[in-house]
Amino acid sequence: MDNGRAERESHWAEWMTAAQGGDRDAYERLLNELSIAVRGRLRRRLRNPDDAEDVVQEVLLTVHRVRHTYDPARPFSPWLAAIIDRRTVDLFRRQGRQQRNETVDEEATVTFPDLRANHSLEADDAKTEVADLLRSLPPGQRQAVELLKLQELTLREAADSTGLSETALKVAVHRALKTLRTRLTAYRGKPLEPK
Amino acid sequence: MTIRPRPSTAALVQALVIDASPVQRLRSPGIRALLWLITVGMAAAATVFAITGLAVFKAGASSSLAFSEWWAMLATGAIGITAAHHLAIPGHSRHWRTAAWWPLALWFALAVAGCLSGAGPLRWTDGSNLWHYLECFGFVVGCGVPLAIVLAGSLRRALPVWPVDTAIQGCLGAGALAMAFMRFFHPLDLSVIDLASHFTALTLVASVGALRATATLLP
Repeated sequence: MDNGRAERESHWAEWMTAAQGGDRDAYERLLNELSIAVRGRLRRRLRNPDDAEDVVQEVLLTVHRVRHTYDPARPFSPWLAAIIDRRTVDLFRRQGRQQRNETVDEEATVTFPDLRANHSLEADDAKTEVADLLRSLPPGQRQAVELLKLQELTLREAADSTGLSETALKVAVHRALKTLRTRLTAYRGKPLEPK
Repeated sequence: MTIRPRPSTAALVQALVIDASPVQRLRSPGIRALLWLITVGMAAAATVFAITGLAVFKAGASSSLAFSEWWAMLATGAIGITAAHHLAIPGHSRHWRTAAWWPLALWFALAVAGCLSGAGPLRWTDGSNLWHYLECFGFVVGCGVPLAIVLAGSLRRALPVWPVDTAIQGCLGAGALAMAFMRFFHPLDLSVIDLASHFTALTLVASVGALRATATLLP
Protein backbone atom coordinates (compact mmCIF):
# COMPACT_ATOMS: atom_id res chain seq x y z
CA MET A 1 0.00 0.00 0.00
CA ASP A 2 1.43 3.42 -0.93
CA ASN A 3 1.91 6.08 1.73
CA GLY A 4 -0.93 8.31 0.53
CA ARG A 5 -3.44 5.52 0.70
CA ALA A 6 -2.18 4.33 4.06
CA GLU A 7 -2.41 7.85 5.42
CA ARG A 8 -5.93 8.28 4.05
CA GLU A 9 -7.09 5.02 5.60
CA SER A 10 -5.53 5.93 8.89
CA HIS A 11 -7.56 9.17 8.79
CA TRP A 12 -10.71 7.23 8.03
CA ALA A 13 -10.12 4.87 10.94
CA GLU A 14 -9.40 7.82 13.23
CA TRP A 15 -12.53 9.69 12.12
CA MET A 16 -14.72 6.63 12.45
CA THR A 17 -13.42 6.06 15.98
CA ALA A 18 -14.25 9.67 16.80
CA ALA A 19 -17.66 9.31 15.14
CA GLN A 20 -18.44 6.29 17.29
CA GLY A 21 -17.96 8.61 20.25
CA GLY A 22 -20.39 11.14 18.75
CA ASP A 23 -17.97 13.56 16.98
CA ARG A 24 -20.14 14.90 14.16
CA ASP A 25 -17.37 16.93 12.46
CA ALA A 26 -15.18 13.85 12.11
CA TYR A 27 -18.15 11.87 10.87
CA GLU A 28 -19.01 14.46 8.25
CA ARG A 29 -15.41 14.49 6.99
CA LEU A 30 -15.44 10.71 6.88
CA LEU A 31 -18.73 10.39 5.00
CA ASN A 32 -17.74 13.06 2.47
CA GLU A 33 -14.46 11.32 1.76
CA LEU A 34 -16.08 7.91 1.66
CA SER A 35 -18.71 9.03 -0.83
CA ILE A 36 -15.96 10.19 -3.21
CA ALA A 37 -13.84 7.07 -2.73
CA VAL A 38 -16.77 4.66 -3.04
CA ARG A 39 -18.11 6.45 -6.11
CA GLY A 40 -14.70 6.19 -7.78
CA ARG A 41 -14.46 2.54 -6.96
CA LEU A 42 -17.97 1.75 -8.17
CA ARG A 43 -17.67 3.59 -11.44
CA ARG A 44 -15.07 1.08 -12.46
CA ARG A 45 -17.55 -1.73 -11.77
CA LEU A 46 -20.88 -0.22 -12.76
CA ARG A 47 -21.35 1.45 -16.11
CA ASN A 48 -24.49 3.30 -15.18
CA PRO A 49 -23.65 6.35 -13.01
CA ASP A 50 -27.18 6.28 -11.56
CA ASP A 51 -26.63 2.74 -10.32
CA ALA A 52 -23.27 3.74 -8.91
CA GLU A 53 -24.87 6.65 -7.04
CA ASP A 54 -27.58 4.34 -5.69
CA VAL A 55 -24.93 2.02 -4.30
CA VAL A 56 -22.90 4.93 -2.90
CA GLN A 57 -25.96 5.99 -0.92
CA GLU A 58 -26.72 2.44 0.19
CA VAL A 59 -23.12 2.09 1.37
CA LEU A 60 -23.30 5.34 3.33
CA LEU A 61 -26.56 4.27 4.96
CA THR A 62 -25.08 0.89 5.85
CA VAL A 63 -21.90 2.46 7.22
CA HIS A 64 -24.13 4.64 9.38
CA ARG A 65 -26.25 1.75 10.60
CA VAL A 66 -23.39 -0.58 11.45
CA ARG A 67 -20.74 1.91 12.52
CA HIS A 68 -20.74 0.23 15.94
CA THR A 69 -19.22 -2.89 14.32
CA TYR A 70 -16.00 -1.16 13.30
CA ASP A 71 -13.12 -2.14 15.54
CA PRO A 72 -10.36 0.52 15.62
CA ALA A 73 -7.79 -2.21 16.23
CA ARG A 74 -8.44 -3.54 12.73
CA PRO A 75 -7.84 -1.91 9.33
CA PHE A 76 -10.68 0.17 7.93
CA SER A 77 -10.47 -0.90 4.27
CA PRO A 78 -11.63 -4.53 4.57
CA TRP A 79 -14.57 -3.39 6.70
CA LEU A 80 -15.62 -0.85 4.09
CA ALA A 81 -14.89 -3.19 1.16
CA ALA A 82 -17.18 -5.86 2.60
CA ILE A 83 -20.03 -3.34 2.86
CA ILE A 84 -19.45 -2.12 -0.72
CA ASP A 85 -19.41 -5.70 -2.03
CA ARG A 86 -22.61 -6.54 -0.18
CA ARG A 87 -24.48 -3.51 -1.48
CA THR A 88 -23.20 -4.08 -5.04
CA VAL A 89 -24.46 -7.67 -4.93
CA ASP A 90 -27.81 -6.36 -3.64
CA LEU A 91 -28.04 -4.02 -6.64
CA PHE A 92 -27.35 -6.84 -9.10
CA ARG A 93 -29.95 -9.02 -7.42
CA ARG A 94 -32.51 -6.23 -7.43
CA GLN A 95 -31.87 -5.60 -11.12
CA GLY A 96 -32.13 -9.32 -11.86
CA ARG A 97 -35.45 -9.45 -10.03
CA GLN A 98 -36.77 -6.45 -11.94
CA GLN A 99 -35.68 -7.91 -15.27
CA ARG A 100 -37.41 -11.18 -14.48
CA ASN A 101 -40.62 -9.34 -13.67
CA GLU A 102 -40.55 -7.23 -16.83
CA THR A 103 -42.13 -8.68 -19.96
CA VAL A 104 -41.32 -7.67 -23.51
CA ASP A 105 -44.49 -6.97 -25.45
CA GLU A 106 -43.68 -7.82 -29.06
CA GLU A 107 -47.05 -6.56 -30.23
CA ALA A 108 -46.90 -3.24 -28.52
CA THR A 109 -46.83 -1.38 -31.82
CA VAL A 110 -49.65 -3.23 -33.62
CA THR A 111 -53.25 -2.11 -33.78
CA PHE A 112 -55.50 -3.38 -31.00
CA PRO A 113 -59.24 -3.77 -31.14
CA ASP A 114 -59.58 -1.37 -28.25
CA LEU A 115 -59.37 2.06 -29.87
CA ARG A 116 -58.01 3.67 -26.78
CA ALA A 117 -54.96 1.44 -26.98
CA ASN A 118 -54.03 2.82 -30.40
CA HIS A 119 -53.47 6.33 -29.20
CA SER A 120 -50.02 6.69 -27.85
CA LEU A 121 -50.90 10.16 -26.71
CA GLU A 122 -53.70 8.67 -24.66
CA ALA A 123 -51.22 6.25 -23.11
CA ASP A 124 -49.00 9.18 -22.24
CA ASP A 125 -52.02 10.88 -20.74
CA ALA A 126 -52.64 7.83 -18.58
CA LYS A 127 -49.06 7.93 -17.35
CA THR A 128 -49.42 11.59 -16.56
CA GLU A 129 -52.72 10.87 -14.83
CA VAL A 130 -51.16 8.19 -12.64
CA ALA A 131 -48.23 10.43 -11.84
CA ASP A 132 -50.69 13.20 -10.92
CA LEU A 133 -52.64 10.80 -8.74
CA LEU A 134 -49.44 9.84 -6.97
CA ARG A 135 -48.58 13.47 -6.45
CA SER A 136 -52.03 14.06 -5.01
CA LEU A 137 -51.40 11.59 -2.19
CA PRO A 138 -50.38 12.88 1.23
CA PRO A 139 -46.56 13.06 1.43
CA GLY A 140 -46.20 10.12 3.81
CA GLN A 141 -48.34 7.81 1.67
CA ARG A 142 -46.64 8.95 -1.53
CA GLN A 143 -43.20 8.33 -0.06
CA ALA A 144 -44.25 4.85 1.12
CA VAL A 145 -45.53 3.92 -2.36
CA GLU A 146 -42.43 5.27 -4.06
CA LEU A 147 -40.03 3.42 -1.78
CA LEU A 148 -41.86 0.11 -1.47
CA LYS A 149 -43.65 -0.23 -4.80
CA LEU A 150 -41.60 1.77 -7.28
CA GLN A 151 -38.11 1.40 -5.91
CA GLU A 152 -38.92 -2.07 -4.52
CA LEU A 153 -37.11 -1.51 -1.24
CA THR A 154 -37.79 -3.97 1.53
CA LEU A 155 -39.85 -2.78 4.47
CA ARG A 156 -36.75 -2.67 6.60
CA GLU A 157 -34.77 -0.64 4.07
CA ALA A 158 -37.65 1.78 3.65
CA ALA A 159 -38.05 2.07 7.40
CA ASP A 160 -34.39 2.85 7.79
CA SER A 161 -34.32 5.46 5.07
CA THR A 162 -37.45 7.25 6.34
CA GLY A 163 -37.15 6.73 10.06
CA LEU A 164 -40.73 5.41 10.13
CA SER A 165 -41.68 2.07 11.64
CA GLU A 166 -42.38 -0.89 9.36
CA THR A 167 -45.98 -0.97 10.58
CA ALA A 168 -46.45 2.72 9.77
CA LEU A 169 -45.11 2.11 6.26
CA LYS A 170 -47.42 -0.87 5.73
CA VAL A 171 -50.41 1.19 6.82
CA ALA A 172 -49.36 4.11 4.61
CA VAL A 173 -49.00 1.87 1.55
CA HIS A 174 -52.32 0.18 2.23
CA ARG A 175 -54.10 3.52 2.49
CA ALA A 176 -52.32 4.90 -0.55
CA LEU A 177 -53.27 1.93 -2.71
CA LYS A 178 -56.86 2.15 -1.54
CA THR A 179 -56.99 5.83 -2.43
CA LEU A 180 -55.33 5.24 -5.80
CA ARG A 181 -57.74 2.43 -6.59
CA THR A 182 -60.74 4.62 -5.79
CA ARG A 183 -59.43 7.55 -7.80
CA LEU A 184 -58.41 5.38 -10.77
CA THR A 185 -61.83 3.78 -10.77
CA ALA A 186 -63.36 7.22 -10.95
CA TYR A 187 -60.96 8.09 -13.79
CA ARG A 188 -61.73 4.98 -15.84
CA GLY A 189 -65.40 4.97 -15.07
CA LYS A 190 -65.45 1.29 -14.07
CA PRO A 191 -64.08 -0.74 -11.19
CA LEU A 192 -60.57 -2.11 -11.59
CA GLU A 193 -60.34 -5.83 -12.04
CA PRO A 194 -58.57 -7.47 -9.15
CA LYS A 195 -55.30 -9.20 -10.06
CA MET B 1 -43.27 5.48 -15.25
CA THR B 2 -40.19 5.92 -13.15
CA ILE B 3 -40.24 8.10 -10.11
CA ARG B 4 -37.00 8.09 -8.19
CA PRO B 5 -37.03 10.84 -5.60
CA ARG B 6 -33.49 10.07 -4.53
CA PRO B 7 -32.00 12.74 -2.29
CA SER B 8 -28.60 14.05 -3.28
CA THR B 9 -25.68 12.28 -1.65
CA ALA B 10 -24.64 15.54 0.02
CA ALA B 11 -28.12 15.84 1.57
CA LEU B 12 -27.93 12.24 2.73
CA VAL B 13 -24.55 12.88 4.37
CA GLN B 14 -26.01 15.87 6.20
CA ALA B 15 -28.96 13.80 7.40
CA LEU B 16 -26.68 11.03 8.63
CA VAL B 17 -24.39 13.50 10.42
CA ILE B 18 -27.38 15.00 12.25
CA ASP B 19 -28.39 11.50 13.29
CA ALA B 20 -24.88 10.55 14.46
CA SER B 21 -25.32 9.91 18.14
CA PRO B 22 -22.55 8.07 20.04
CA VAL B 23 -22.70 4.30 19.66
CA GLN B 24 -21.48 1.51 21.87
CA ARG B 25 -18.84 -0.44 19.99
CA LEU B 26 -19.57 -4.12 19.57
CA ARG B 27 -17.30 -6.43 21.53
CA SER B 28 -14.93 -8.62 19.52
CA PRO B 29 -16.69 -11.58 17.88
CA GLY B 30 -14.59 -14.07 19.88
CA ILE B 31 -15.74 -12.55 23.16
CA ARG B 32 -19.37 -12.36 22.02
CA ALA B 33 -19.30 -15.99 20.91
CA LEU B 34 -17.77 -17.02 24.22
CA LEU B 35 -20.42 -15.14 26.20
CA TRP B 36 -23.13 -16.72 24.07
CA LEU B 37 -21.71 -20.19 24.62
CA ILE B 38 -21.35 -19.65 28.37
CA THR B 39 -24.94 -18.41 28.62
CA VAL B 40 -26.33 -21.31 26.62
CA GLY B 41 -24.09 -23.78 28.46
CA MET B 42 -25.31 -22.53 31.84
CA ALA B 43 -28.94 -22.67 30.73
CA ALA B 44 -28.42 -26.21 29.43
CA ALA B 45 -26.66 -27.33 32.62
CA ALA B 46 -29.43 -25.83 34.76
CA THR B 47 -32.07 -27.63 32.68
CA VAL B 48 -30.26 -30.95 32.92
CA PHE B 49 -29.80 -30.52 36.65
CA ALA B 50 -33.46 -29.63 37.14
CA ILE B 51 -34.64 -32.65 35.17
CA THR B 52 -32.20 -35.39 36.07
CA GLY B 53 -30.18 -34.16 39.06
CA LEU B 54 -26.43 -34.58 39.45
CA ALA B 55 -26.24 -38.26 38.63
CA VAL B 56 -26.21 -37.76 34.92
CA PHE B 57 -23.10 -35.55 35.09
CA LYS B 58 -21.26 -38.31 36.93
CA ALA B 59 -22.34 -41.10 34.62
CA GLY B 60 -19.65 -42.16 32.22
CA ALA B 61 -20.06 -42.60 28.50
CA SER B 62 -20.88 -46.03 27.13
CA SER B 63 -17.50 -46.19 25.35
CA SER B 64 -14.46 -44.01 24.74
CA LEU B 65 -15.55 -43.62 21.13
CA ALA B 66 -18.94 -42.33 22.20
CA PHE B 67 -17.21 -39.93 24.60
CA SER B 68 -14.88 -38.68 21.84
CA GLU B 69 -17.88 -38.26 19.58
CA TRP B 70 -19.52 -36.08 22.22
CA TRP B 71 -16.46 -33.86 22.44
CA ALA B 72 -16.39 -33.59 18.65
CA MET B 73 -20.04 -32.42 18.79
CA LEU B 74 -19.16 -29.80 21.37
CA ALA B 75 -16.20 -28.65 19.26
CA THR B 76 -18.43 -28.39 16.18
CA GLY B 77 -20.92 -26.37 18.21
CA ALA B 78 -18.37 -24.00 19.73
CA ILE B 79 -16.45 -23.47 16.48
CA GLY B 80 -19.63 -23.01 14.42
CA ILE B 81 -20.95 -20.37 16.82
CA THR B 82 -17.59 -18.58 16.89
CA ALA B 83 -17.31 -18.69 13.09
CA ALA B 84 -20.81 -17.25 12.70
CA HIS B 85 -19.95 -14.34 15.00
CA HIS B 86 -16.78 -13.62 13.00
CA LEU B 87 -18.58 -13.85 9.65
CA ALA B 88 -21.21 -11.41 10.91
CA ILE B 89 -18.66 -8.60 11.17
CA PRO B 90 -17.77 -6.90 7.87
CA GLY B 91 -14.15 -7.34 6.90
CA HIS B 92 -13.42 -10.47 8.91
CA SER B 93 -11.83 -13.36 7.04
CA ARG B 94 -14.13 -15.48 4.91
CA HIS B 95 -12.04 -18.50 5.85
CA TRP B 96 -14.38 -18.77 8.84
CA ARG B 97 -17.05 -20.09 6.48
CA THR B 98 -15.41 -23.53 6.52
CA ALA B 99 -14.42 -23.57 10.19
CA ALA B 100 -17.14 -25.90 11.51
CA TRP B 101 -16.71 -28.42 8.71
CA TRP B 102 -13.45 -29.77 10.20
CA PRO B 103 -14.74 -30.80 13.64
CA LEU B 104 -17.91 -31.98 11.90
CA ALA B 105 -15.81 -34.26 9.68
CA LEU B 106 -14.03 -35.59 12.77
CA TRP B 107 -17.35 -36.18 14.51
CA PHE B 108 -18.70 -38.00 11.47
CA ALA B 109 -15.56 -40.13 11.28
CA LEU B 110 -15.87 -41.03 14.97
CA ALA B 111 -19.55 -41.89 14.52
CA VAL B 112 -18.75 -44.13 11.56
CA ALA B 113 -15.94 -45.74 13.55
CA GLY B 114 -18.45 -46.39 16.32
CA CYS B 115 -20.76 -48.20 13.91
CA LEU B 116 -17.88 -50.36 12.73
CA SER B 117 -16.42 -51.05 16.18
CA GLY B 118 -16.69 -54.36 17.96
CA ALA B 119 -16.17 -57.88 16.83
CA GLY B 120 -19.56 -58.22 15.18
CA PRO B 121 -20.76 -56.94 11.83
CA LEU B 122 -21.77 -53.36 11.07
CA ARG B 123 -24.29 -52.16 13.68
CA TRP B 124 -27.36 -51.06 11.73
CA THR B 125 -29.52 -50.42 14.78
CA ASP B 126 -29.18 -50.56 18.52
CA GLY B 127 -32.38 -52.53 18.79
CA SER B 128 -34.63 -49.54 19.46
CA ASN B 129 -37.90 -48.99 17.67
CA LEU B 130 -38.63 -46.32 15.08
CA TRP B 131 -40.18 -44.00 17.67
CA HIS B 132 -36.83 -43.79 19.46
CA TYR B 133 -35.09 -42.53 16.32
CA LEU B 134 -37.88 -40.06 15.61
CA GLU B 135 -37.50 -38.81 19.15
CA CYS B 136 -33.76 -38.19 18.56
CA PHE B 137 -34.54 -36.40 15.34
CA GLY B 138 -37.24 -34.31 16.96
CA PHE B 139 -35.03 -33.39 19.90
CA VAL B 140 -32.20 -32.14 17.70
CA VAL B 141 -34.54 -30.11 15.46
CA GLY B 142 -36.71 -28.93 18.34
CA CYS B 143 -33.73 -27.78 20.36
CA GLY B 144 -31.45 -26.73 17.47
CA VAL B 145 -33.95 -24.40 15.80
CA PRO B 146 -34.66 -22.29 18.92
CA LEU B 147 -30.93 -22.09 19.58
CA ALA B 148 -30.40 -20.92 15.99
CA ILE B 149 -33.10 -18.28 16.44
CA VAL B 150 -31.46 -16.99 19.62
CA LEU B 151 -28.14 -16.96 17.78
CA ALA B 152 -29.67 -15.00 14.89
CA GLY B 153 -30.66 -12.30 17.40
CA SER B 154 -27.03 -11.96 18.41
CA LEU B 155 -25.74 -12.00 14.82
CA ARG B 156 -28.22 -9.38 13.67
CA ARG B 157 -26.58 -6.85 15.98
CA ALA B 158 -23.74 -6.82 13.45
CA LEU B 159 -24.03 -7.01 9.66
CA PRO B 160 -23.61 -10.51 8.25
CA VAL B 161 -22.55 -9.44 4.75
CA TRP B 162 -22.48 -13.09 3.65
CA PRO B 163 -25.65 -14.27 5.38
CA VAL B 164 -25.81 -17.79 3.94
CA ASP B 165 -22.27 -18.69 5.04
CA THR B 166 -22.95 -17.14 8.43
CA ALA B 167 -26.24 -19.02 8.84
CA ILE B 168 -24.77 -22.37 7.84
CA GLN B 169 -21.94 -22.08 10.35
CA GLY B 170 -24.29 -20.85 13.06
CA CYS B 171 -26.90 -23.55 12.41
CA LEU B 172 -24.29 -26.31 12.33
CA GLY B 173 -23.11 -24.96 15.68
CA ALA B 174 -26.62 -24.77 17.12
CA GLY B 175 -27.53 -28.24 15.85
CA ALA B 176 -24.33 -29.74 17.20
CA LEU B 177 -24.89 -28.15 20.61
CA ALA B 178 -28.45 -29.48 20.64
CA MET B 179 -27.11 -32.93 19.96
CA ALA B 180 -24.46 -32.64 22.66
CA PHE B 181 -27.22 -31.56 25.05
CA MET B 182 -29.29 -34.60 24.03
CA ARG B 183 -26.56 -36.87 25.40
CA PHE B 184 -27.82 -36.13 28.92
CA PHE B 185 -31.25 -37.52 28.17
CA HIS B 186 -30.50 -40.14 25.63
CA PRO B 187 -27.46 -42.42 25.19
CA LEU B 188 -25.27 -41.73 22.20
CA ASP B 189 -25.69 -45.06 20.49
CA LEU B 190 -23.36 -45.92 17.73
CA SER B 191 -25.48 -47.41 15.00
CA VAL B 192 -26.10 -46.55 11.36
CA ILE B 193 -29.71 -45.49 11.90
CA ASP B 194 -28.73 -43.28 14.83
CA LEU B 195 -26.02 -41.73 12.71
CA ALA B 196 -28.46 -41.15 9.86
CA SER B 197 -31.12 -39.62 12.11
CA HIS B 198 -28.59 -37.29 13.81
CA PHE B 199 -27.02 -36.06 10.59
CA THR B 200 -30.37 -35.70 8.82
CA ALA B 201 -31.57 -33.50 11.67
CA LEU B 202 -28.38 -31.45 11.54
CA THR B 203 -28.68 -31.05 7.76
CA LEU B 204 -32.29 -29.96 8.14
CA VAL B 205 -31.41 -27.29 10.71
CA ALA B 206 -28.52 -26.01 8.53
CA SER B 207 -30.68 -26.03 5.37
CA VAL B 208 -33.52 -24.10 6.96
CA GLY B 209 -30.95 -21.60 8.26
CA ALA B 210 -29.39 -21.22 4.81
CA LEU B 211 -32.78 -20.73 3.15
CA ARG B 212 -33.91 -18.10 5.64
CA ALA B 213 -30.49 -16.44 6.00
CA THR B 214 -30.84 -13.40 3.79
CA ALA B 215 -34.30 -12.47 5.04
CA THR B 216 -33.41 -13.06 8.68
CA LEU B 217 -29.89 -11.79 9.02
CA LEU B 218 -29.42 -9.04 6.48
CA PRO B 219 -30.74 -5.61 7.44
